[in-house]
Amino acid sequence: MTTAESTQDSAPSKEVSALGIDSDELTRRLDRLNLTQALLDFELANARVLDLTARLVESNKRVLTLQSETDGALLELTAARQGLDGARLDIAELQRRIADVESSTTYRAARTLGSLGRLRRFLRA
Amino acid sequence: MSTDDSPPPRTVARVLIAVLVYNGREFVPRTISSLGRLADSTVSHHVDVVVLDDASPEEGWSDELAELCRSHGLGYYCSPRNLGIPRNMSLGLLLAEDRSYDFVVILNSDVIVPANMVDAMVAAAMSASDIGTVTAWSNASSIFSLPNETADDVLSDQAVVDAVSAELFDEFAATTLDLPTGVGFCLMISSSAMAAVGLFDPVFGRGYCEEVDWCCRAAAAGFRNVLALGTFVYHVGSATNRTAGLLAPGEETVTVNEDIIDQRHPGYRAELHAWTERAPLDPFVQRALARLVSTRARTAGYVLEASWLRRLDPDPSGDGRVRIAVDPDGVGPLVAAEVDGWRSVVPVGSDGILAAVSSFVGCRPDEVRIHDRGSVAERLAELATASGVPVIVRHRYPERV
Repeated sequence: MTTAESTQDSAPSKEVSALGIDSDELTRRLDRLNLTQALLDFELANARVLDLTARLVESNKRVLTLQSETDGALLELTAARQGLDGARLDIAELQRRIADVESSTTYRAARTLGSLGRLRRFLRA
Repeated sequence: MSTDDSPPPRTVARVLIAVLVYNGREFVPRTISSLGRLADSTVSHHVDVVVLDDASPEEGWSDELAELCRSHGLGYYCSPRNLGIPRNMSLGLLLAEDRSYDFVVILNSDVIVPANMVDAMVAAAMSASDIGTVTAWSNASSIFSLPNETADDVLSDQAVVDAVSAELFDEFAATTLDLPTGVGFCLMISSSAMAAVGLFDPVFGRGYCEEVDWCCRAAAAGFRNVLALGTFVYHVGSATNRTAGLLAPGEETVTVNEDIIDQRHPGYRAELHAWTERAPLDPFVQRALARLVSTRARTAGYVLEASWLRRLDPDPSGDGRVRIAVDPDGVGPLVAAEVDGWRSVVPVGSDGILAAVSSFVGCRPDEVRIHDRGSVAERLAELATASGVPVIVRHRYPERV
């Protein structure tokens, strides 16, 4: 084998791809673009993580505030309900007492006498 | 006065086609072969093709693909890490920007492209300065499709795709229709839109809806997203996404990405709904179907049949003639014509069926076949006989049950 043949055999074939550059150059260019963009994507993703973290923290604060307000409102509601229940019991007790009074003999006698008094005044007139 | 009638110098655009590949050994070679033909065809523009292999994990596939690309004179690049569809699409945009292309076509790997694709899409893109994206018409381009009932059986053939696309270009040339969004299976993007809008957002992860987001951003920047009616690309549909594992069996979308679209572009759904309600594509679909069916009927010949059978099977003689069928008793005022899965209807006027169909096709039928009885069938036989068209009567059954 001659030196020229040997050189020819060992030389890498520089085919020209459809993009007008050889395939090695195409790979180099795309590797560079790919890597550069990957780094930019990483920076962007990192910035988004920072932004999202800040918004998450802010959202958590808001959740805690709202939770606290909700808890306070629930306590007030519970107290109000208890007060309402107490008032309902009081009303029921009063209604029971009124019924007792109305059903008593004394009340019914007084009511009858009152009616007779009003009749007498009417007849006199 | 100038007597020079020569056309103005042609603007030769530089177009990069970036093909996204992830596995797909069973369908990608057909796409590569189809793209390889573009270099040999009479494309008026400078076209380069690069196949972006997204680190396909199938054993030995990347090596096969690299060799396949080399043998077809296409550029090939295998990313050292899997990027996902949005970032792989962006790599195509970056290469186009780096190499100063006028347009980049983002192309799925489950397609067959026609010989006139680049010319037709560039013509559409150059028809107005504010066009940012051009989507090719296809049998499977979401709600913007040209419907075909037997696409995978008939259209998955290079010669058929070339013929269909040529017909559509003859019919529509550079006509475009504005869309609410482009479709990423074959999306041409202009360099000016690229410069204004930027890249596909990696927030869409492995992919889905990234092109909707990009097109909405393009629209917000003042660009139009249009459909090129004068081209036709056969698309298997979802093969790329399913191969990449984005869509599980039975799924049609990635819900979380849809949610991002809804949050980021709150008006998009309403716009899409309004577009669908308006149905501006329907007249073009009817024109396209009529063109495809009538051209084939004119060139291959056709048979006019009076038959109850709704499904129009290919002519049993195997001579490729088109079958056009009419209800024997004329209950419906329409005649159905079908070829290669394209189905068109022919409105029948007062002149009658034979005149309507002859006018639709541009010539009289080779013969009239009467398969079933009925008033229209009888009248058709009379008219055909009077016109010198052979009539074959083959009654198959009595009239309707």
